Amino acid sequence: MGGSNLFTGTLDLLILRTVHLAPSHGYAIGKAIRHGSMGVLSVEEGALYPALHRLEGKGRLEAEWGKTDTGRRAKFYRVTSSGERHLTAESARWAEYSGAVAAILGGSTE
Amino acid sequence: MSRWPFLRSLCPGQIRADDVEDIKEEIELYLELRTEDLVKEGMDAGEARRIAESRFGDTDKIQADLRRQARRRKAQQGTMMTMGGLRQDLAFAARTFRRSPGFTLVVVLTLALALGGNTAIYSVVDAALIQAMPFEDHEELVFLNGYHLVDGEMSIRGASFPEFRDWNERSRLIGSMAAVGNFTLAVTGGGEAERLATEAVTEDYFEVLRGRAASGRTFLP
Repeated sequence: MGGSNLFTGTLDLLILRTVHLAPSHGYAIGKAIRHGSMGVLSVEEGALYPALHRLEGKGRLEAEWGKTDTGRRAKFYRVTSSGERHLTAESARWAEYSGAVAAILGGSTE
Repeated sequence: MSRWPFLRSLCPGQIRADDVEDIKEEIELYLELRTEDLVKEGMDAGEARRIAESRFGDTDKIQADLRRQARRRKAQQGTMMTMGGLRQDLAFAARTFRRSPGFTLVVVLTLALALGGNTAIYSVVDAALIQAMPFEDHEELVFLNGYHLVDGEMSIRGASFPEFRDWNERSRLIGSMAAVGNFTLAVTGGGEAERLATEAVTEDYFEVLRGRAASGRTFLP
């Protein structure tokens, strides 16, 4: 697996973003994050499921049991409107934050 | 989705066997899919399963974590029940209204007319009875009337002008008195005839009410 660990809070954001594209189950979400980041970011399963359940508890995700492509019963997560709002707000905050860090790091290497 | 959200909330903090199974099944699916992917990469099935499990970490601990989370959420749900119930009721009402627009229209019109009628009546009551009359010392103003007694029932009959004159001269309770009479007159002139509500008053009317003419003057002695 390898790759960097995720900062707290970032995982929620990545999950919301991934699920926002299409309702998915836990394994697909973890895989999508790994692939989406070209293998740089990996989600520990030990963190993924508690995060999913936490987001569900906060009402940012909605879960429903459905069938996978291969006909397996799986718990599918979907972003709620509250989750959408959180995603929009946090994405903006993250862009600002990462931009600021990049600006400082870029300046210090000169 | 629970079919009995109410019954479930009676025992807050308790999670059902279903919930425990759901957690187990969710994690099992993860392990199976991971194993499958590893097999696709050319790994032996038994080996793949072992690696999937070891990479997942302590399955029991994670399951326990999830159960604890679920229990906490259930406990919170108990306290949130009233709010959640209210929201559900409102959402249900909204859905019902959307599904039967005819009924909704009738309800809305009924409410609108009733509220409108009430508002109109209370506006009049407010202006006529509750709001102060626009006169100085209005609480000292009284309205005098003569009454008939017919079969034990009182009915207003007003007063004749001589009666008024007597009251005005002899009363020691009333500071000053003015008489009024209402007439509806038809005014004809250049254009169409028009009905006017008028009031005939005695000369000290404006003095009694301490009113001033908006333009021009009132009666001179």
